[in-house]
Amino acid sequence: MHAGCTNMIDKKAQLKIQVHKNHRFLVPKSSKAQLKIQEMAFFLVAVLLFFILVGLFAFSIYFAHLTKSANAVSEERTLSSITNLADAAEFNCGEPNCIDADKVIGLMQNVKYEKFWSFSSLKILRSSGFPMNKDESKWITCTPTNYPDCDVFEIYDKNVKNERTISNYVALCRVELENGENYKRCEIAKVIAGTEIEIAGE
Amino acid sequence: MKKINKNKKSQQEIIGFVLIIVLVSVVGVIFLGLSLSRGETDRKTSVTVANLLEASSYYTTECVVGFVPQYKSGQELIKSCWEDDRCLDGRTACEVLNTTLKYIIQQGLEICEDKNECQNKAYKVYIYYSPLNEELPNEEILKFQEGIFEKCSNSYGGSHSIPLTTLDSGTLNIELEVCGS
Repeated sequence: MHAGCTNMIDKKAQLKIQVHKNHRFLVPKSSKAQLKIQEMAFFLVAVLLFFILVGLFAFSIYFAHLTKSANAVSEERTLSSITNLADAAEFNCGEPNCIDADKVIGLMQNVKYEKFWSFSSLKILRSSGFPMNKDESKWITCTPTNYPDCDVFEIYDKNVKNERTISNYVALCRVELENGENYKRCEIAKVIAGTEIEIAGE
Repeated sequence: MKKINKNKKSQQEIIGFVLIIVLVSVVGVIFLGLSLSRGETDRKTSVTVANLLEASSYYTTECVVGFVPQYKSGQELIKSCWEDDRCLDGRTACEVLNTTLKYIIQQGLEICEDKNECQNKAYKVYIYYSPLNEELPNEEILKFQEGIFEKCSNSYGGSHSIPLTTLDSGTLNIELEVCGS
């Protein structure tokens, strides 16, 4: 055979071997290396899981605060709507957050106001009816005849099934006569407003 | 020799793993600590408490000046206390202010030491004069506390300001902090 020809055959054979070697290179040499790769993969998964858990923990704390502050904001909004109620011309005594008791007595006779405000019930509790002084069952409802010797002004009540009440402190003032002179006597009172709650399935 | 090297390698791996966990834990603890401390420094402000203080500033007190029925309102009484005035019955304005505020707060916020009977267990009141010039310090007018405030996990508060009549005179402030049961 020709010398050049034998060289060519040798090179081809070498190339074949190389190709074969390259294929072998893709497969791990031994089970030890496979184990190492598996170990590394497990380790990475464990670290990833750990980070996910830490992240979830942090998020749960963050969102717990968010829910709390959202509830506080909604409560403040409702409270400010009652504060605005005390400043309405129908109630106001001339000062902010102050209710004129004489106006309230006049308002109680008027049924039209049930549709005027969005609350399901509206009452004003005088300090004599506060929980530390008297139970709710012992409250005396104010009327033009017994006023001011009473505890609660019931402006209106739609008598709804499910109701949540929100209260706010106001000054309740009335004009009194003493020693032949008129003066404004103010006390602490609570405006209690009810809102109807929609319950699913009812 | 090979065995020793292998052991060293695995020890290094374990140390590395432990270091990562310790590092992440430290970061987590710092984050947790920061978020919790932020919650403590922000005192919860309550609209209800602020409204109670505002309403109490109109409350007709027992302190009379001049003749009956010239009763002083809550805010007038604070001004009188700051000016060391006396009521017609001989009591100082500060004494009447102290008694009146205690009565209003206890009745309004239902404060007593029995957890089952009341909503709140303690409160702190701080009344002070704040000059318009912020560089000048506040002047304490009245400060009192009822109940035990220690280890209070649920506290909230509010404040109310009373502007003085002359433009350059500053404000009288009343702060109330309540500890819930």
